[in-house]
Amino acid sequence: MAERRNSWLNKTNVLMMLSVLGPGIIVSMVDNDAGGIATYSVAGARYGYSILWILIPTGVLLYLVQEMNARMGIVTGKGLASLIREEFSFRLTAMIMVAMLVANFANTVSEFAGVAASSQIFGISKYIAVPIAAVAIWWLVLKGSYKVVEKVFMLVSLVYIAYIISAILAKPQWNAVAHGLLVPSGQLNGPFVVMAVTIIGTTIAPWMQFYQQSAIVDKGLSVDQLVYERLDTAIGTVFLTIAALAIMICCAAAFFNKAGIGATTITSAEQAAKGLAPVAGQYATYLFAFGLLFASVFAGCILPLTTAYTVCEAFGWEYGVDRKFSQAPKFYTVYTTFIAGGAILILIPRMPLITLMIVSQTIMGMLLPVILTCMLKIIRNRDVMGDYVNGDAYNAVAWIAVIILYALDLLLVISSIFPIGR
Amino acid sequence: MPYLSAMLGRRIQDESGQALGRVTDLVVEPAAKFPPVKGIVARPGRRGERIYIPWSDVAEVRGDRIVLLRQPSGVQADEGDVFLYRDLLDKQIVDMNGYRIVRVSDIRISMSGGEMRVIGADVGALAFLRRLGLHSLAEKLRSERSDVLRDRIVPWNLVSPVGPMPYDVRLSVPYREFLEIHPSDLADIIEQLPEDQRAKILALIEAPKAAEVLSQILPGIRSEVADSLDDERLSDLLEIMPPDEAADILGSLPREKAQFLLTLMGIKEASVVSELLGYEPTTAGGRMTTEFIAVPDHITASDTIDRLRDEAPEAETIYYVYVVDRDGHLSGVLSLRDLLRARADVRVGSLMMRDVITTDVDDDQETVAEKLTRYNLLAVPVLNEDHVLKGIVTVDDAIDVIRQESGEDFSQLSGVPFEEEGTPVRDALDPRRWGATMLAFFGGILATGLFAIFRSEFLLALAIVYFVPLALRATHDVSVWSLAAAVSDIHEESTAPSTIGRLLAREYTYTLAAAALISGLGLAAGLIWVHNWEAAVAAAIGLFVAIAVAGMLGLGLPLALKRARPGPAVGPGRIVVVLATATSLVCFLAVSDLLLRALH
Repeated sequence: MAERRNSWLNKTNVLMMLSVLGPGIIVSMVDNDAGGIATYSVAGARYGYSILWILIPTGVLLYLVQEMNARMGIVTGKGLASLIREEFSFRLTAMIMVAMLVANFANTVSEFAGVAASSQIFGISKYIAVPIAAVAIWWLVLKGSYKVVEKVFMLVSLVYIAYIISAILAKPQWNAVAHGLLVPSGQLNGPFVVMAVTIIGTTIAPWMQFYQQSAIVDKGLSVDQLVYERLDTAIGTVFLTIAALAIMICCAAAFFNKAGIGATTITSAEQAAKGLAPVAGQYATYLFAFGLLFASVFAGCILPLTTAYTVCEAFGWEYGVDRKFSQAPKFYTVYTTFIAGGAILILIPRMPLITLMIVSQTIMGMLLPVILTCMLKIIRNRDVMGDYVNGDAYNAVAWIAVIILYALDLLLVISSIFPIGR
Repeated sequence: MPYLSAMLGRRIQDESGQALGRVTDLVVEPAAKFPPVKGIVARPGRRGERIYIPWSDVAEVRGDRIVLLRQPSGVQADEGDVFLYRDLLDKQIVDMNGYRIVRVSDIRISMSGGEMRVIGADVGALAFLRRLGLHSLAEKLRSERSDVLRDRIVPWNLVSPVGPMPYDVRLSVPYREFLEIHPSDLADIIEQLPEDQRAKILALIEAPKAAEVLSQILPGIRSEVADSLDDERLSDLLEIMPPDEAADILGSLPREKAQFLLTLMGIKEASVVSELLGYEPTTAGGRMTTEFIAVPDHITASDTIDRLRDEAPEAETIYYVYVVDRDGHLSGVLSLRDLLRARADVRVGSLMMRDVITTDVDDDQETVAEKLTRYNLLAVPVLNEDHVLKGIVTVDDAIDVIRQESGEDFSQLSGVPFEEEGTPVRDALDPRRWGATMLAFFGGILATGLFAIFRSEFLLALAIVYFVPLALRATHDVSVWSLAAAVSDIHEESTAPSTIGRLLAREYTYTLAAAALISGLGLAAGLIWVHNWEAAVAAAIGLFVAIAVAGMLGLGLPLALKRARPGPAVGPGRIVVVLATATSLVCFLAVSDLLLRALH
């Protein structure tokens, strides 16, 4: 036994594992973006610890989906957009591209909104913070190599520790936390169901499938690294769940069932951040805002990057973070346009952000089933996947998971068009 | 019609009109050059088994149906055959080094004599429309003059796969196959390749053809390609090229390199080219070619015709024969018609016309073009100050000049950047023109939207409104000027980046001075008229920032666009101006708003 462990846990393997880590962790951490933080905050504030358990099945679903992406990326050496264009009709590809463009752009705008909101908590004008953030992330991807960019992203992922500290500062009742996490309980009313569905919807978003697969291709991982990439995906999912839990716990402890605050007043991440000050101290506010700031900057970089990957793959243009502008001009043009457009829109006062978010959420909700169906078809195709097709059992589980997602998704779309209890 | 996208889904029927299914794929043999379609894959119904129909069973393509001679004979496709839909459509095209170029969006087919042949892969934008089923719209929008709205065909011999191809289409560019493609098509392909690939491809081609390809590449890209070729090779190519084109290329290279290359070239060629290099590019000397036909005055008409026959392959034009004395002084001109009508033994000296329209080497190219058009000439001789014939400028060079000059004039008037051969759009139905108009509309709506957003600031100090027309006008003006400056600076291809930087810095200094002046005057006017010093100060500072931003965008955006798309075309100038104006208006409103709140 000891020997076996030795042979597996030797130096080469560990180094190899560390070098593979990246796409899965990054995609999960970015998923806790401005929109995600807002959702988790509101959920914690309104329903307290009783809603925590939802994050566990969500995490499992997320792992299932992202693992398939990792496998497809490594085995085929192609991004999801490439595979869809090659395996399905041009019309479907065009439709998915248009939907992705609109949804990703709306989402990018909301990330810059997160930058603006959190920087204002620190007393920095958004006219200063947003342009600086935009230029910084633009510069990073334009000039950095894939390795450097990935390292920076991984480093930024650490700021989610801020939420864990915020959660501790808010002094939650840990036994109630454990109960809420382990014992599923729910309320059978409209608002609760919508809240639950929204959590799942913000956690499993279409851009993630495109990003993780493209990043794996860009990184150039090979089939013998698949096991490490699965580990990467698993670690990412666990981190995501912990960070989301921390945010919910923090808001639950600070706002749930407190007189004068809670369900009615906390409707956004920055309100949650500001509201923490009287309950958990000024530092908790700063930490929370700090997390929001970095999460938004980070996601404001990844979403345009995903879009650039996706568009270039679909049209067959050269792409890659390692390329120079002159080698992949279209890739960087899409990337630049998204960042510049997002940053400029947010500087226009009184943009109807809520409408934008609802549009984006609705489009993503309608897109997700389409993309997952495509994925499940591709991953059963032996011509594409060789021996790495889904096994029958795995496939059955994946289909069940996906069907559950469809149902929840439908609910989400309906609820964003006909809002209940918001 | 002649596209794979239009063939897929067509009905197949037998002679009696009985439907047999629909086309789902076309089959060709990969090795052939522009291979004929050897079979069709059809599917009888939604659930039916696919069947293979050899082309020999096809009677004709009638309207949008395919009529068969007989029931499919059951022959199967061969092992290595290529199925166009399955194997080629939507596949990634990569070059020989693995760089992705584009995807195959459609496949061009040609129909003739009952045979269908594959021409190549279509990678143009119109193919997207056809794939969406909008065939007639694609036809309507097609325009050969547009960069975007035309077919871009990668010839079959470049995309033809070797063996079965489950993956990418690798552009195999072995040396032999390259010879089959027309130089200007090849130049087109090379322009689309990544920078570091271009010279490598050119190195594979045989010298005479490579020289032709090199001279066809867009000037902006051409100097890069030339610069990255190895010196020996480049000097060989320059030697083969017409001297005026060689001079153009040398002129765009760094001085030391050009001089070194001249030393590598043969003495005769080098001396011609270096003489041409001495002229300003926009003068008659810079435009002329040295490949004209000149004869002494004592030879006969029939001898002249023999000379003409010998020199015709090299000469730029054969319609004029110039008569020169022993020292090369021009004494007259003969047209081809004169020569053919003359008796064989007449001396050209007595036939020629002595009163020749000429131009000086230092004359501006516009003057030369004017002479050519006013006197309806096909070519005009160029003389130096000693009256020695140095070269000719032909009418096709003049067409380029007229386009370029009118483009420049137009550009200066309107702030719309010109393209190398672009003339302003006149066609009332041209989508680009309506695009520009709609852009203006959206720019206006954007500004109105900003007003709506900032309306509460206007209530705070109505005086700000007084400054809005000034801000709009001034930022528009500054961005147009900055744009023009940036465009003309980067248009000079030989200019080094550091020089561009200096020029732009000087331009920006002017912008800042203008900003200071306008905001200073604005402040004075504001203080006199509105008696609200807070609003006046806020508006003046807002104005300053807005103009500074407008100038920066006007200078910076064209540079950014230039990096994104190398080549002389500078990109959508109107968009740049609208963007710059809109952004600076936001700056004006935001800054004056912030200041007003701070001052209150």
